[in-house]
Amino acid sequence: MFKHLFKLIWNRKKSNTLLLVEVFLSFLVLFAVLSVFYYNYSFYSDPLGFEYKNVWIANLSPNSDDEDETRTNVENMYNLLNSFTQIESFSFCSDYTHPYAGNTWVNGYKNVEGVYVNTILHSGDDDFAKTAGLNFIEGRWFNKSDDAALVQPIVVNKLFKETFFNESSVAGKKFQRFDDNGKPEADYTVIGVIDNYKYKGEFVEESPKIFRRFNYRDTTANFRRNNSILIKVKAGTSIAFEEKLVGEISRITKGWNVKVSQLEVIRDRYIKDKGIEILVPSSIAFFLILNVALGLMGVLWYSINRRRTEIGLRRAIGASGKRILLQIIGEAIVLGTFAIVIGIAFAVQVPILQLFDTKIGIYIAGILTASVFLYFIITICAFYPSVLAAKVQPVDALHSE
Amino acid sequence: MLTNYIKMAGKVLLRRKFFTFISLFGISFTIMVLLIVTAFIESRVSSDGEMVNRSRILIADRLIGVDSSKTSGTWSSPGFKFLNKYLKNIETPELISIYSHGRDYFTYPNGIKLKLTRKFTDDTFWRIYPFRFIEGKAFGINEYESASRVAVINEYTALAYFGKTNVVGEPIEVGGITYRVIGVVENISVLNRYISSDVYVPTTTAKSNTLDTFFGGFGASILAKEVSDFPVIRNEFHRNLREALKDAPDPSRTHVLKCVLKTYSEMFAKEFYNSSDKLDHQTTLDKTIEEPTGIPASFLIYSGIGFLMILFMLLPSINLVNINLSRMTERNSEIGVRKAFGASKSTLVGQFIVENIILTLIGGVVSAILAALALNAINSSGIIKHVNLTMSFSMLIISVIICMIFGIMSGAYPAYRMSKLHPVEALRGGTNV
Repeated sequence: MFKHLFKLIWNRKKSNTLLLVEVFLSFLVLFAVLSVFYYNYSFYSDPLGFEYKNVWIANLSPNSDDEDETRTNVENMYNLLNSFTQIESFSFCSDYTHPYAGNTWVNGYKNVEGVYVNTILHSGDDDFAKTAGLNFIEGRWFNKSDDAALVQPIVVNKLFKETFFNESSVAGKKFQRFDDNGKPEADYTVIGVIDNYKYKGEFVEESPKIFRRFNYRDTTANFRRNNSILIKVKAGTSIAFEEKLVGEISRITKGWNVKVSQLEVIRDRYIKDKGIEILVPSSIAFFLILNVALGLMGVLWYSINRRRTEIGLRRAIGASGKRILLQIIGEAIVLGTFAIVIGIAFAVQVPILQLFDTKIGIYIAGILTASVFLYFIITICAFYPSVLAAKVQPVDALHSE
Repeated sequence: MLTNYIKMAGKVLLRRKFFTFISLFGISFTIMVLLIVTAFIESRVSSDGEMVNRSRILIADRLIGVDSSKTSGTWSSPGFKFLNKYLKNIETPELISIYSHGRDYFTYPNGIKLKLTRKFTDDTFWRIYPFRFIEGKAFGINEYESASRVAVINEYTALAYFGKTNVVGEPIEVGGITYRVIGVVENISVLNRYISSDVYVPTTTAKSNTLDTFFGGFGASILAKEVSDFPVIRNEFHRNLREALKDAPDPSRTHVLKCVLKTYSEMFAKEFYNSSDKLDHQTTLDKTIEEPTGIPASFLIYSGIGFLMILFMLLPSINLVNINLSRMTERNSEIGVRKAFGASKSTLVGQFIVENIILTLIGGVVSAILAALALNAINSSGIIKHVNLTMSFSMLIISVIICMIFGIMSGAYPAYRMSKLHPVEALRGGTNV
């Protein structure tokens, strides 16, 4: 059956070449768009790791450099925020720590195998884990008992644990950071491991992270860096509270600038932007494929018209309408298979040459869905012309000859 | 003769409506996408209005401090202190302007929550970028040096805050400071991110700690007298960078400072080729000094965009050729009859060319209408703040011509082949084309 269909296609190879090229290019377009989609989806499906519902973020800009004044202001703010009944919990953290922060702080840590692990640094106070809703895999977050710690306590994320230690349990482990000359510079104790913390948003790949403690009572604590407040408000707190909060904070700090935003609003904006980023190429691809599908249907339809005599002859010597229908669809599918095989040969070069640094599963899923989708389109496009072909009456066809 | 061709073309196109639709759909959709993409690119590369000096401007956009092991570093925008001390004193350029990144503030005029972007800048800014003023004027060196609380606002702000544009002299409150409006400028799209803002105020009105930063928050534009001065300016600045090292925070850890002055074209080329931040971070760490590649940036941009456009047009054009070829074979007997009655080769080919030109022109008109609607929708949707995309008519003409070439190649060539056939063969249906 397939040998026969192949022969039929080969006999008209000139007119079929263009069709083949068209299906081949469509495959590449579909492969590219679907791979990008799966790539983004693989990040999206990886848990975010923090709460954004009813969580607000306040960014502060102090108006003076005076250390003591700053300290008093921070203490007053702690008291003020504790007094609001609308606030469930809050945490002072750095502007490179809170969800959707614009800044990044990166450091390299050399592990026992001598490999540098590029790590994102965060810092927050004792209530950060509770306010942000971090999920612990082992150990705990910072608390008062760390005041007396001799070695700096840190909390790491799952990925840091996997890339740096590669051990099953790391709570309580100590390690050192070395400076440029190989001398030990700082000692750390890991006290807890959290799951993901994709603070830049759903579509950003998780990277190794270290959290450090911010304690405002500590005289060496750097407030300048921990100038953001993450605030979890009670469900149903109105926007009017935002204005009150801003007013109260700038009153007790004597004119610090406060900018409050809702994580949910930031996230909506982020998802919308990303959606447009995915939607634009997808809709272009959709129209390209639609274009090809219409063209495919038209060309098949024409070739049926031209092959009326051939089909009439087959009907005259006893082929049923159903067999004709299957033959036409079969031809289209065999042609499509050639194009898809060539397409796959090109598509697999992307992971083989490692053009992009991604998981191989994404490409496999891309190739599979692109193939299935194309077969579906080819069948649909071949269906109407083949129904026309099946309706050809032997008498009419032979008569015109 | 021509009117006859046109009449005939109309009849032929209406005879097979489905095929005419497929061809038209392909042509108009392809041209529409090209027009929209060009509109976006043009908004980035145009030298109109406030961007009149575009080709003579260098941008300082990023300052990188790397430690000696090249494993950790600070990636950031430059700070005001750094730029003011080590960039402003370069002598070769005509003008240097330092400005902050726009920062958003909420104000509550008449009880409505309004988000405004505020940008700190200086008097030279308005000379490097000659904005079109609707009302009033820009602030000058006197206002800048005396730290006057004056503001230039854009049309959007004037309408949203005051409800009118003749607002010179009125007070406006942004970020806790009340300014006096001295000028209203037209809106600048956020795509032009170095100069786009809602409210522009003198940098000297900022708090001292904003002005005292080495890293973060600021950028600069340098207007050279001639494009040929660029290497001299870069060298001069490079010398200053070495000196700036001792001023850097944490000097024991910062061994190298990198800040490459880039032209607008180079910035665009960089964005175009690697939009991924991650990739960028790694390459900048590995390379001690980030040098421009030597290949002209505008060439990189146009070759890249040209390549993508050809890639994009490939599928629709193959489709068009395919449809045209099928169509031609259907008309074998028509050609045979015309040949039998004495039509010459050129008459036949001419007829098919006219048919294709008409089809492509209709496609061009449809695509222009679709593109105008789409651009209008993008402009008014507010997805991109203050964006004002316009259609490029030169691009419309270029893409119509490209489509026509494909149409003529695919329609006229088989027609030419057919016209060479013997009338008897052609009348039979001439299957061996």
